[in-house]
Amino acid sequence: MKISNQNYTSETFSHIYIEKDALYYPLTNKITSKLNKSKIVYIDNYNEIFSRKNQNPFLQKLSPSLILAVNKGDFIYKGSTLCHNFEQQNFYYTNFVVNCLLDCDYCYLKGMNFSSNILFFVNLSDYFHELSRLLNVIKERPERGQGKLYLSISYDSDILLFEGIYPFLKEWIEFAEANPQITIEIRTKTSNYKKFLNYSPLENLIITWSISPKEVIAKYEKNTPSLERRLMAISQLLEKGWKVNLALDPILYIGENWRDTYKEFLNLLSVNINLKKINAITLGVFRIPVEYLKRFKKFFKSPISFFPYDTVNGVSSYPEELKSKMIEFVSSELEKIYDKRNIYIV
Amino acid sequence: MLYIISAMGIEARAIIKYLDLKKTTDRPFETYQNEEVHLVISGVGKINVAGATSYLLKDTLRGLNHSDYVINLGICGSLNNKFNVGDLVLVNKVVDYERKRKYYTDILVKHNLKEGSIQSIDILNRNYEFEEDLVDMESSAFFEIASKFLFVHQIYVVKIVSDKVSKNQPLERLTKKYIDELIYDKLEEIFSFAKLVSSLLKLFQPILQQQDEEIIEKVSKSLKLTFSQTKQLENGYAYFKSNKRINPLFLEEYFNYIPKSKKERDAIFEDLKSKLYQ
Repeated sequence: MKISNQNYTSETFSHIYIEKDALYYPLTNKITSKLNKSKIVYIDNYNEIFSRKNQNPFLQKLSPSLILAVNKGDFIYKGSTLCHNFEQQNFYYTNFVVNCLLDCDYCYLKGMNFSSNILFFVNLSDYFHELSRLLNVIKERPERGQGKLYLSISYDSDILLFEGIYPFLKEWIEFAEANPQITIEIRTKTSNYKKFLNYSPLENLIITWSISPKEVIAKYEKNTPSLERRLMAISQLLEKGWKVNLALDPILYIGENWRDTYKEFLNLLSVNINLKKINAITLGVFRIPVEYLKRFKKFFKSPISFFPYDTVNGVSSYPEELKSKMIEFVSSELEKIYDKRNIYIV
Repeated sequence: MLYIISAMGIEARAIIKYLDLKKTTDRPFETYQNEEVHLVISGVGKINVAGATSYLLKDTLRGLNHSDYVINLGICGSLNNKFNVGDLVLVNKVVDYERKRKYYTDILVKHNLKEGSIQSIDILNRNYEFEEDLVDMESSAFFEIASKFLFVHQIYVVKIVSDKVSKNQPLERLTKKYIDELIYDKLEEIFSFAKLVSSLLKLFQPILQQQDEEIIEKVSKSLKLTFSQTKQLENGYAYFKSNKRINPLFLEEYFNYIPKSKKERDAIFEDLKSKLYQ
C-alpha cells in the first residue's frame, strides 16, 4: 500500500524491525515472505524502535515501518472507562496489533504511542492460552457476569487492514466457535468484508463499523474507505447473517451546521442499510486523555487538536453544554429510525 | 540546514570542494560552511565526535529546527561479505560495541543506497567480535549526542567501505589519495540522498511559524495578556490557522490597542477568542 503521493517517501513497510526472539515463530516467516522486498533490521526489543521518545509520528505516517515482536507482558486488559462496556461485567480488550495505517485526526493512538510504526505481536497462541485461563477463572465465579466475557480485539488498531499479511481471522473465529462464553468484537472502518464470507456467521462474533458523515470522513479520516463503501460492506454481512454493531463515535463538532450534517448522515444510514438487523449502536462525542491531546498539539495540524475543550478528571472533551446538545440531537434523531433500547451512549 | 560531521580532514576534503564550503573557524573544531551546509571535522574516536556533534548542533534546540538534519559521513571497515570496498552504505542500525547501546535512524525516504548495520569501537585492534556489517570509531557517539538535539529521522550515518577487516589479516594502511578518491566517487549519490531528506523534512513544519509567534507576542504585549491568556491565544491562533487554512490577519487590529482596565482587557480577549474559534 502506498500512502503518500510524494515520490520521495518510502513504501509502507519498506523496513521490518524484527526482535531476535520473534525469529522462532512461524508467523514471522509468513509475514516476511509476503513482504519480501522490505529491508530487515534485527532488534533486541520492540521498544528500541516503538517507544523512542524523539520520533515524529506525523512524518512516520507517510512511511510506516513494521515491527515484529513477542509480547512478554500482559495479553488481556480490562476495558477502558472511555469505551462502552455494553453492560458486561467482564469487559476486556487485547492488542496483538498496535497502531493503524488509517490516519484519523482524532485517533487516540496518535497521542498514546510515541511512534506511528505498526507493531505485530507474533505469539498469537500465547493470547489464546491466556484467554482460556481467564475464561476458566470467570467460569469458576459465575456470580460475575454468568461466566461470560466480552473481548474487543481491535481497539489499538484496525486489524482487518492487515489480514492479508497477518492471517489472524481464522484463528480468532475458531477460538470464538470453540468458546461460546466469549463474545469477540472487531472494530473497523475498512470495507474488508469478503474474508468473513469464508465462514459461517457466529452468534458471539460482532463486527462494529465506525461510521461518520461524509464531510467528517473527507476532512478528518485520511486513508479510510468512503461511507458508501463501508455501508456496502455492512449490508453484505448483514445479509449473510453476521452480527453488526455501528459506532457513531466520535461525533465531532464540525461547525455551526453540525445538526444538518448529522441529520443527513442518519438519513443516509436508514436508506442504505437495514437498521432493524443492526445489533447495537453506540454514540459518543470526541474525548481524549489530556496528555494525549498535548502530543496532538505538538505534532498534528488538524483543528481537532486545537479546539477549546474542557478537561474533567484528565479527559478532554467538548464543553458540557455542547456535548449534551450533540448527544441529545443525534440520539433523538436516531431513535426515529432505530430501536432506542439498543442505543448505547458513552 | 544540513550538518555534516567527518572524523578526518581527508574525509571532508572532497565534500568541502564539492559544496564550495568556506572555512569559518579552526578551534575548537575545524569548521566549514555555506548558506545551506555546516561541516565540522571532529577528529577520530567517540569522544571527539561527541564533542563536535554537540558543538555543531548547539543552536538547533532553539528556534525552528524541523528542516535541519545531520549526517556522519566517512569511511569504515567491512566485517562480512555483504559489503565490498567502495560501497556506499546508509546505516540503519548503530551499535556502541563497548556500551552495548543501539540506535536506529528512521529511514522515511525512498532511496537506492545499500543499507547495513555498524558497530563503533573504542580502540583500533581486532580483539572485538564481528557483530554487525561494518565497523568505525565514531557513529554511536555521534548518534547518541545528535539524538539529544534532533528527531531520529533527522540523523543519518553514511559510510563508504574503505577496507575489509579480517581477524587473520593486519589492518591495511590507507593513503590520503585513496580515501579522497573513495569519497569523491560517491558525492553525487550522497547529496542526491541528502536532497531527498531535505524535501521530506519540508513536509513537516509546525502549525505556528516564527511570524505567527511574533504576532502572538505583539498582541499579548499590547493587550497585557496573562500567561494563561497568551497560551489560550496560541491555541486559538493554531485552531484558526488549521481550520481556515489562512492566518488570522485580523489580529493586527490589536497591535496598538491598550486596554484601560483588566475588565476591559478580559472582554476584548473573549471577543478575540470567539473570532478565532468561529
